[in-house]
Amino acid sequence: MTRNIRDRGRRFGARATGHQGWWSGTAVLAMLLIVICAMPAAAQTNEENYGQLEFNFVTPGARATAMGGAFIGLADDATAAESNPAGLVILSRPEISFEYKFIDYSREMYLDENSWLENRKSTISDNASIPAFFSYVHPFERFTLSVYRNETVNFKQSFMTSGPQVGIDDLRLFPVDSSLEMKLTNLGVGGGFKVTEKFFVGASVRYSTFDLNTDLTRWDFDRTSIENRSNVDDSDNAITFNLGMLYTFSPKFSAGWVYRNGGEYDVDWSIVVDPAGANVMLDEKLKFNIPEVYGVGLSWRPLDALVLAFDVVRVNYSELSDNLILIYNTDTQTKDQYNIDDATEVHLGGEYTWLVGGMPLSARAGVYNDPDSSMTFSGDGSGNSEATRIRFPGGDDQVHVTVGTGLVIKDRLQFDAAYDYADLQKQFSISAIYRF
Amino acid sequence: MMARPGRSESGRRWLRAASVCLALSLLLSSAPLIADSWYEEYDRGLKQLRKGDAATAAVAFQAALADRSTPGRRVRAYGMRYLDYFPHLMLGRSYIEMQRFDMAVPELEAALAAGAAPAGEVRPLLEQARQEVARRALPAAVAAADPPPAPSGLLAVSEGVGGRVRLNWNGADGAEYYEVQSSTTGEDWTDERSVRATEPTVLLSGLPRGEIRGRVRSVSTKDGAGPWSPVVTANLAVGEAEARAAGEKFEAGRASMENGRYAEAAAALTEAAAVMENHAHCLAMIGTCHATLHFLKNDPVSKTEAQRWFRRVLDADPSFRLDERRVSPKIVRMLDSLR
Repeated sequence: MTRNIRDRGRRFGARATGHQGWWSGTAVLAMLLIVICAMPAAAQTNEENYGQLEFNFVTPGARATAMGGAFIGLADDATAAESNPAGLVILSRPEISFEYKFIDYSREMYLDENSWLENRKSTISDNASIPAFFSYVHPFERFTLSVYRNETVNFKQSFMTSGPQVGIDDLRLFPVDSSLEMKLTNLGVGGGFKVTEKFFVGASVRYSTFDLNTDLTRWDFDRTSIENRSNVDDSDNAITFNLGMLYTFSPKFSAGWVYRNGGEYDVDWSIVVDPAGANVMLDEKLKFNIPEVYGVGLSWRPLDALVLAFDVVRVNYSELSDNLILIYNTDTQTKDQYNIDDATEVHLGGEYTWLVGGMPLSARAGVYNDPDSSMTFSGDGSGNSEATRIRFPGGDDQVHVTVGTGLVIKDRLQFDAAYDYADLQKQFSISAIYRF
Repeated sequence: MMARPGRSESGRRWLRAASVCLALSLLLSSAPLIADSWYEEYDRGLKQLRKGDAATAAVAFQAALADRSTPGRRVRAYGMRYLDYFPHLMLGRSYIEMQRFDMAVPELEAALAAGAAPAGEVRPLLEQARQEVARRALPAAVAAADPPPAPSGLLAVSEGVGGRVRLNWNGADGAEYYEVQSSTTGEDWTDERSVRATEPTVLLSGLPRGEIRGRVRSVSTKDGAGPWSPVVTANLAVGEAEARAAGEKFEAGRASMENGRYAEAAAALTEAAAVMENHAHCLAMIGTCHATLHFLKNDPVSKTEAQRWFRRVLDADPSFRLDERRVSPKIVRMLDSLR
């Protein structure tokens, strides 16, 4: 069993470039059945396409984006339904709001044959256009109701490798073609309640849909035959929620707290192995834990025209690796060697508003840190471990700088725009609010 | 069979969240009634006025004024929402809708004096209200076969902070309503200053400081107006202008207090208190400012001042109590110890 699993790992992940000993299809099938039956029924795999997933937990709305995502202690527009539902009670008129985002993601990976030996990463980029947020808010006497839809996650990633040399035991990774699309959409009903004149609470319940579409093809070295091919094309639903509180110390100071859970989602994963003409398909359930998020925020209005906001947000990214399934190297590696660190994000932003011809015109800016949430591998110096480190190279912490503007026309129509810049992620967001 | 760590952690999270929800539910179920902010009341007033419910609108505008007395153009409500805030104009408009022209006049005059609301919109309404007040006063020259007698027992008493005098009298047989006039000199009785009352009481507002004279007569649609009652006089120590200035000082003091500038708040409130002499709430706010300064700085002078103002509070209203939800228990105890 031990020998079989290690050999299977070599076959799926890497092998000595001069190796000639192929197994028969029957032997591979029998071995995979044993391994799959022994798997826990949960988690993403240690395939490289799950190594650098990106989530978009920044509060929705171009206004909040332009303020560095610092909005928990302010929460004074329709996006409060998601950012801090307690803030909904600040609104005194029904509103609809809409946000559209253009996101450009970049990742750095070892792609070509000598890239690892020369310590040279290549940058891969993908982008997504997202109808990120839509909401309708209706205030009542002491209660404000919101119905909304938002996309917390909309991530695309595709790459091709030509099989980097590992540099130990004459090992080389198989060339890989990979594509991945991941989306998490929430349909939510939320409400804010005014407990006292200064203390508000809020909550929302969300019907969350997780869509995952992956295709990972592992070729032989000359790219003439497929070693194996795994894919996911599935979706799952969960009921999730968020909670929020807001306290206004004075018209100038307020503080907020928010908690959001992400939910657990099961999707069908399958792999086709085609060793020497055999065609064997096996499947399994993957369980994704979308990280929970909690944070606190402060807002300070030193002038009526100026507001500053400061948030500290904790994202439990480590939940993603809670129930990792090892597909490769099951005999030499353990799940504990695969890590995703939790992240503490600090958001700071400000907004200054002028009245131009009676129309409020705002300029906004902000900054926040985005700690690396990639999966990394910490193994020994063996060839298999080195091969795994190539597939899970980790990433760098990012610092985002944001700017934006907003304009209100005829007291009812508000347009906002924001640009969020970081080395490996750029985002442009536009949103509109109409007050009845 | 071992429990999976991930599952048990998830269970704990749900348990924590459920505990928070339960705590919030308990909190909400015991929540007392609270006041809305000025822009919520103002929005409510505008909505009711559009729906034709002027009486409800008037209540909302009064509540908005109580929370924010200063009108203005393009005032920030929340977020990026700015609005024109003209509560006096809207209150005057509501009174006109309610046919309460006598009450509309002082509000529209206040709107004009504040200067924020467009004068071109206020003046026609004010003119309309004044004309209606005058028109509704029955001409004195109407012949009366057997007019009702002059009301007896007329009394004039100043009321509220300033600029207001209440006239009370005994109802007269045969009177369908009463016509009330006021004068500062005793000579300038005019129909323009006539107010119509269906009950034997009326509150005259917007009056200047000094002697205010009043008279009343009974009116019957069939038999015409009776003779005027004897003139009564009330001496107003505080006129409408002084009361308004004191109100602004009071608001400034309250804002300073909310922002933690207690010395500044005490100074502004003391100026307001000089006019609003027996306004227990104002006196209590001054005492609270001094008491807070005492507890913050351990200042014996502030303590003496706090006790002095709290004694004045109890002189004005022996049953006055500080709101324990808004004021430190130590300050509440300081006031109660003087009771």
